[in-house]
Amino acid sequence: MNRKWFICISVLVLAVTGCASVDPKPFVTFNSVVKEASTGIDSAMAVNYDWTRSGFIESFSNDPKSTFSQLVIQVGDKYSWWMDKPAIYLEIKRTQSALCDLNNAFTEYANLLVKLSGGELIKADTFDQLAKDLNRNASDAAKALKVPATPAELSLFSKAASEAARLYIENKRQGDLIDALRKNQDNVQKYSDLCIELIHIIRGNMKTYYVEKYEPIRKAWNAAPGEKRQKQTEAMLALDEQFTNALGVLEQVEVTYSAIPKAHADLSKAIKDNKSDLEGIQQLYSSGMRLQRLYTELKKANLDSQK
Amino acid sequence: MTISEKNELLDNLSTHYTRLNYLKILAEEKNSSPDVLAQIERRKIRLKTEIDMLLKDLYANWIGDAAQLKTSVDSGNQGLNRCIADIEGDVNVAQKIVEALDYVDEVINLAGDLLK
Repeated sequence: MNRKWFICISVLVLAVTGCASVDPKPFVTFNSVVKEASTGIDSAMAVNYDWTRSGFIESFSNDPKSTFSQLVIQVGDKYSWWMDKPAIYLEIKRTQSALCDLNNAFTEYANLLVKLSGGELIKADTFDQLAKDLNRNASDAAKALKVPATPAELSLFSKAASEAARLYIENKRQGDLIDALRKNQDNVQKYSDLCIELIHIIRGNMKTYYVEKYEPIRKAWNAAPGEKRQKQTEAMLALDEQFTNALGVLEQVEVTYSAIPKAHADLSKAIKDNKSDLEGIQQLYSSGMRLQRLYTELKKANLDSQK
Repeated sequence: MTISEKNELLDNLSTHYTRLNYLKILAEEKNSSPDVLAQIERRKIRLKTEIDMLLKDLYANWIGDAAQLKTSVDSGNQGLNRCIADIEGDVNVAQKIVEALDYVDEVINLAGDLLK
């Protein structure tokens, strides 16, 4: 009777071990592209801040109506301060800080998805060890209870029992992942929309301040003798390159952020079927790779312009 | 006016601003009269003031919306952290059960020895 019981349980549990573990690869891809997008928008924002600040200095210092008091910070209690008419670049600084907080929260979300989907959480080694320990226990117990089970049967039982524990936890993990993806889809869509909105603001800001940036170069060009305009020409070409690079990055960041919601929805498909066609993830990945190349160029051009 | 409409307006105004300045450059290069140049400059200043106001408004709105979304994402992250902790707890429980079985075995063996 006991012998039959061992065999029945072992066969029953091993029969349902077809439930595959989650493939963490799509989650890792999603996480890395989210980071690329965040770096891309940050780098465009940094250029935008520099341009707007220098544009402000240029127009403020050349405006005869400007007064020194407009530059003075009003100091309040403890750490508080304000300006009567804060310049736009200060608003950009605040936006940079809010963007950093939001990106950190979203990057943490993508990291947690990787953790929940990854092998570290439910290590195979842990369950192998459980099977070994159970095998030893079962052998001792069988001897004490005088159960007529062979070592091979006991081993099968231990393996089945630890696999049952693993399966229980694996199912719970998959359920948690699907639940998290479903509950957060709305936030992901909002995150994508909000970042695209910011990209459009930066685009309008940079177009305007491109003019403010080249006006001093133009004035210097006009003031220089006809044959000595090489420095201004070089400065204008560098500015043009920086401007077109920044627009390229913004355009690509927009493509990347637009692809995030679909890729996020695809992650649920990846849990249900490892071999399903993850078109959204693929698009996000390609977009992230293009973005990485573009923002690296932008950062380099920005550093060169500051030399 | 929705945020999206404001953003569309910003794009139109900023594009217009770059064109207006280009027009000013061409007018200067064609030696236009100071009166024409002054008219362009006045429009340019007015347009820039409008753009700056719109930019400030859009940035301020964005900061508010971002803070709200951050709170929501943070709350989702807390839920995920709990799920991860639960699963780690389940793995620990499975290990604890096996350890407990070990003690039970010892007790059974002891009992068996005593009954001999």
